[in-house]
Amino acid sequence: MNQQLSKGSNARSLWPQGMNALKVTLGIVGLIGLCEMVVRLLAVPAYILPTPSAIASVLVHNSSYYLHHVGVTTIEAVVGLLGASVFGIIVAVCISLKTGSERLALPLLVAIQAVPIVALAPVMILWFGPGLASKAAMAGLLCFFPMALNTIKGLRAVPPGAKDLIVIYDIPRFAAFRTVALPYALPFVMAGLRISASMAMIGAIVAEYAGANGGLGYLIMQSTYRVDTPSVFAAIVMSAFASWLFYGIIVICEHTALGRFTRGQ
Amino acid sequence: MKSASEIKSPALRLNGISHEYTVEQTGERLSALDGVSLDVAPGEIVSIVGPSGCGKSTLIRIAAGLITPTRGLTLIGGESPENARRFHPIGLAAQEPVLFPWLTVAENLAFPLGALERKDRGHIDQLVDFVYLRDYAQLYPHELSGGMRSRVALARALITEPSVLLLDEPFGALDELTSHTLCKELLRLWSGSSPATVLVTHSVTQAVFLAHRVIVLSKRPGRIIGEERTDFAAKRDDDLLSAPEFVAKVTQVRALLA
Repeated sequence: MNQQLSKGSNARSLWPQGMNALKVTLGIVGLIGLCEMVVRLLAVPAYILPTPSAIASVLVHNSSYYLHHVGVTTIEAVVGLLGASVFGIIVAVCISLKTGSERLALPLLVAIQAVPIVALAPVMILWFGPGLASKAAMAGLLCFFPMALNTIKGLRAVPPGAKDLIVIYDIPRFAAFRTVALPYALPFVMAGLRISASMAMIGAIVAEYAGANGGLGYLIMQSTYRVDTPSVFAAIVMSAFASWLFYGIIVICEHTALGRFTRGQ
Repeated sequence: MKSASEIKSPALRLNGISHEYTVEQTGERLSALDGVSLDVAPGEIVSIVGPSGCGKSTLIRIAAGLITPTRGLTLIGGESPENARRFHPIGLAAQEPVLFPWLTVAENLAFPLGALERKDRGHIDQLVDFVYLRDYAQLYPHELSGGMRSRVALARALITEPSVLLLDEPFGALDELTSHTLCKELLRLWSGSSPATVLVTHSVTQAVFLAHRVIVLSKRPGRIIGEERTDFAAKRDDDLLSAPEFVAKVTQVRALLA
């Protein structure tokens, strides 16, 4: 009976989600159509603003070329995101375990986050060279702060009543961290990952602007030098798709593997 | 005839408890409790009533060893709460039932046993049946009503068969009907292992209905200003609520509070 109810409620909850996705898709298609119409009607030159059909044509005719560069940027972003996630979570855990250190560390982290980190892109090239390392480092720098700050926030989200239970049942510190603090922190960590997913792509592309032999940032710069605006927009469209895909994978992981930790919290 | 508290050594002893705390914004020192002494015998339920802010919840937290009092001594089975809870689990349920959102009802119930590394998990199924949660055992807390969440929290407090059960307005957030249903449920659950129980409540009716003794605290700083025994001849069920002796006792406690 409960299973039937559960299946029924799942179907009901999927229906509005499907409808929303359909509405968003129709909205995007409508916007693209409107853009095509406006650019054609106003006869805007292609080097200023190409029509969506011209951008699509570039992508179709050079699909493997663009996919290669998407791959380069995505790898840089993924490496940066993974590094920043591991490092950010470790730093957050260390700060949370040391009583009172939050008061010192939090303002410091927030202050560093306020620095325009993208300005460091040329420095990263100087330090790590024009290859993967400098791009991953740049992506990682942008992801580190949301990951660390969100994890700290999550580890502080244990409600007072749950802390009481830890004391009442005399749960050792590590076990309390594993069984109580970490599950409470997971939704915050996942939120940090979602924010970081797009930050990682931005970091990798900005680092490619500063100097690279491949990737979407490199492609955008090269096309800009040639005043090949349809190719610039084609690279921008691909970077948007890569970001959405990246974000989507994280959301799917969150809902499937970690669903029980994020439901109801 | 001697009452339970007179013939047995106390399961919980609060001796001369006074507690002061500092108001964060002003730095002012406020006294929450002043010289509260209370013994609770094994198998006894003691209710504590008093005006809002009189230190009832502070007293429960001190009894659990969650707060160290400014003055006074807490003993559970003759030991400090810190030592006692290593060997004799304490049960605690608060007004806002804290259930872990990522655990099912059955897993939430089993949490204390896992925490205490106890292998005797056989009675989880029994307890799930006993609290009428069989159909809900695999549901998550957000899928339960407020009353059901309170019931799970109460059952979890009892699953370790504690020697001392501390209840801080466990039904305070519920409507009157659900609250009364859960009071009867509490008596039924309590009758299993009959731990020494301290119940903090703002409902005089609930306090008299559930307890063997009702302790009345003054307004802040909380001092014991009265004590009423509630040894009713009648069984504690719905009929008791309209019995003249019950109504008289409720009136006496209300008079102490006034």
